[in-house]
Amino acid sequence: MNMKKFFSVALAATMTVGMFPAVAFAEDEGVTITYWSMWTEGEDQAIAIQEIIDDYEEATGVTVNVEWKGRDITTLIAASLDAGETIDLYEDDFQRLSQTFSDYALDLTEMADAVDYSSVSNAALVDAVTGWADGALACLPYQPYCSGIFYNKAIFDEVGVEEPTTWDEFLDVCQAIKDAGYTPLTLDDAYITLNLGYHLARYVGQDGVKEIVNNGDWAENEAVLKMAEDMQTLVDNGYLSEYAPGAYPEGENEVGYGETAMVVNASWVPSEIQGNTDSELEWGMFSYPAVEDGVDGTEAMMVGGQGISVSAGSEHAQEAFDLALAIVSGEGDAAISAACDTMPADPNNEEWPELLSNCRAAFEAATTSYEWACGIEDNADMTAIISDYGAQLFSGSITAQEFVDGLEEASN
Amino acid sequence: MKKNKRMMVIFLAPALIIFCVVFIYPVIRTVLMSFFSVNRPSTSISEWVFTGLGNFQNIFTQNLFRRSMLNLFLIWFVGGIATMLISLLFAVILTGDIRFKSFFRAVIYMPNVVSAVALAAMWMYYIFSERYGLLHNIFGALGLTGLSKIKWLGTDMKLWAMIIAFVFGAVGYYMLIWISGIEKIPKDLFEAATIDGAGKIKQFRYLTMPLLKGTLKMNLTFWSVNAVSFFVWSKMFSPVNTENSTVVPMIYMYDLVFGSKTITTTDAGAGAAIACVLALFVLLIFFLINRLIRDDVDLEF
Repeated sequence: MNMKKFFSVALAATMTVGMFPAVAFAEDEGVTITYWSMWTEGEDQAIAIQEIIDDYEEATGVTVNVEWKGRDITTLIAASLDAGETIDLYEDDFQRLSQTFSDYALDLTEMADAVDYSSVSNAALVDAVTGWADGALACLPYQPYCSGIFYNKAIFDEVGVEEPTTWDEFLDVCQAIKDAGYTPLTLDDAYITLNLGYHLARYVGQDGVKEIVNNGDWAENEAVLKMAEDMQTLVDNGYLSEYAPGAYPEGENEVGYGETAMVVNASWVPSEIQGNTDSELEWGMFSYPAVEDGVDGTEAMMVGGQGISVSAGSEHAQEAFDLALAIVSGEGDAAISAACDTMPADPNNEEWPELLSNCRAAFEAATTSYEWACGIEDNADMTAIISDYGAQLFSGSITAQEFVDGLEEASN
Repeated sequence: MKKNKRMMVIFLAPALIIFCVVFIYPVIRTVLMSFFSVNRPSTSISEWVFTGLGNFQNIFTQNLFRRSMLNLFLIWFVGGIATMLISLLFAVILTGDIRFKSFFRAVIYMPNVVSAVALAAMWMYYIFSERYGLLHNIFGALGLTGLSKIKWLGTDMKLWAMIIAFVFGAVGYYMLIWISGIEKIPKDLFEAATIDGAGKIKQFRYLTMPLLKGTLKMNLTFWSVNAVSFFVWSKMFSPVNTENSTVVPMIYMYDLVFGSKTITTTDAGAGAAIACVLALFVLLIFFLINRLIRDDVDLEF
């Protein structure tokens, strides 16, 4: 009996003592937020963001449970949130977050206003987000990109040509580069619509491009034939690589190998080519040239980026917003820019990576923003067909008129 | 007896429950979804809007879907003929009396143990490349300038390039199935045929082929299922955007259900309709195979 009492007391005492560390831990634990990232562990972006998270945890006591989901996050995020998964913040392409997944996102406008977010963000990118998400700030954009014509400065210097601003000047530059023994321009199959879209948007503006692709006005709108004829000129005059359109990334790699001078692409391309070809070029960039009697000029540029959303059902929305803000602005943004050779999102971050320093003037001079491929991919059912005809046009197997007729027939 | 029944239920129940949850339920849900307007696969059933055959009508009006079905048919038909013939040829050779049989079998099967991603990259960059690919170099060295300049990865040739690469990766698998079928045929039959004066070709025509009907059915069934689920090769040959020349129904379905750079409004209902069309395609093929290739039930060996 005594023994039984003894064991009972001992057991109760052990259990009571055992509870203390748990209580103490619970008090220290604080808030935990879950962050699903589009980067994979070990990527430059993931390393930079992990450092920002570590600083944030230390400063706030908040625990961040980060999951590096990689690009497949696109296929996971909606189903996971629908299934009731606790995700406080998540990231993806900023257009997809603002359109496809906008109903899962918390409108961050009030929180952003409270911290004067407009002073640390790029107005064009934020306007694009609110435009797509019916006025809501569905995500905080970051790691932006700009686009235009990227070139090997050494070839421009050797040939003695300046950055062109009009199509005629551009053709003169191409001729001079060709005369010097280089291929002026290259193109990959993955960017056919970007090249076509950019040139067509110079003639009719982005809204005009969308009207053409959605209404099937390929033959009705004369600008399409003009655009196609300009592209045919590149082929006929031998300004475009004989291998164009190459199987991505073979075409763009020609710039890295020093064979070709220019490529129409976005600000990730210098870093990509450098990685593919082990080259160390000095890169230049200028806005896509203006065409005669065109609606838009060099002030219009395709820009984009990634974004971070706070989920509408988050119980710790403020903490999640604070972490997102730490990533997209200030020191966090500068660290990502430096580590990944990407443009900073916060205009107060004056330091640009050396690889992109020559993009800055064109980007800052841009006052009108285009969406991806300047609207030519707005009709999803036509995109692959446009790309198909574009490939034939760029390889010289069809004429400009056949390009127009083919698309007219396909869309009707 | 009662105890045995209880044990059977206890042992079978977990497997049956899991089978119903992870297989039967998604199949039923997908079929139902194909008749409704549904934004995402995870959208609650209460939000589904009945559209009847609307999704089916819708996908068949889309140029891209029609093109994807044409591409799938070409992959299945042309790729199928090539794969079956080449694999059968290898199987017949490697069941004959030749040296290093095991080595050749292993070499031909090798592509099946290599990831399709690696295989596709190898074909694209080391064989089909217009600048430094194997085909370019070989034709160039032979002085066949026209052939050396073929744009294997251009719009006109990309589908065929992809089929060639896919067939290369598939031949070993079907060869093994043929070999197992051929090795089941008793050697006595061949010996008797030899004594009767039949040469190797006659033996193949009148002995091997008729006795391989069951194996042919199996190979065609596996090939059909494999072709319908064609996805990775298409993604590899068009890594950034969906292209007309390489699009297949699975790629189109993936883009519709999960969105893409250009498809910002997802449509799981249409995606489910595509899945149902593909299932019907496979069923039709099974039906045709069973009608056209009848097992010789009275044949015993």
